Amino acid sequence: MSKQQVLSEPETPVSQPSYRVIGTPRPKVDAYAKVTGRALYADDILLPRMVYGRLLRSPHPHARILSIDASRALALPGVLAVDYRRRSAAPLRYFAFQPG
Amino acid sequence: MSMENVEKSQFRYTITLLEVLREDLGLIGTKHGCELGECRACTVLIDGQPSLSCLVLPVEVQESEITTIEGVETNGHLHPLRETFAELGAAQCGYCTPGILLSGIALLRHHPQPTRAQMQEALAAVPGIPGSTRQWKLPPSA
Repeated sequence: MSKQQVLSEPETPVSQPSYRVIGTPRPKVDAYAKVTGRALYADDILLPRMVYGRLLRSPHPHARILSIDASRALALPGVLAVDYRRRSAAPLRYFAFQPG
Repeated sequence: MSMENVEKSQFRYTITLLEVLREDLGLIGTKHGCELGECRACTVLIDGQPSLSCLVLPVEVQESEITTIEGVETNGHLHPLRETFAELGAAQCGYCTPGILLSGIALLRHHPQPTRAQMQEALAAVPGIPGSTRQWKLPPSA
């Protein structure tokens, strides 16, 4: 195929006035939910027994985690669990949870 | 607000108006965005004036009338601005749409035939903040 052919306009389909959807403006399915404030976003959702998670990241840009002492975090009121995984070579992940 | 009167004792006083509306009163149509007064997602009308609820403490508005996106439905009909937003698909992700609509509705109450400059100013978070003004720049003359 020559360059000329590649760059040429695609053939315009012959007008089909019988189409009911193609070529006509369609309302967005969630348009009314969004203009009435009823659209639900992740932050709007409350589930029974929902708890909140917090990710604690290292304040140091380049450091090795030698040990983690979660006892003070666990002693805080409302903290349900502190979770961290230790894998030989993989970086440590450290999670704390607070209830809502 | 959809509710006529809210007892002061019903909500915590150490949080922002935004959090009172969303968390204590369950009016989640007002959106929680940047918490810095920049994104305008939290806009509500305080005594008819568009205001950023993330920067307002409940004690400041004890005697005021607060209108949220839930409160602007009139006689079961959508405000023409909302109808137009829905018809034209103006809401993309839609998270900031309630704030934009409230700003627009407040503008139209004061200026039913606003000039382009008035529209531009109303759609900027605070007149003179260039970021927001750019964000909501109107298309070249219609």
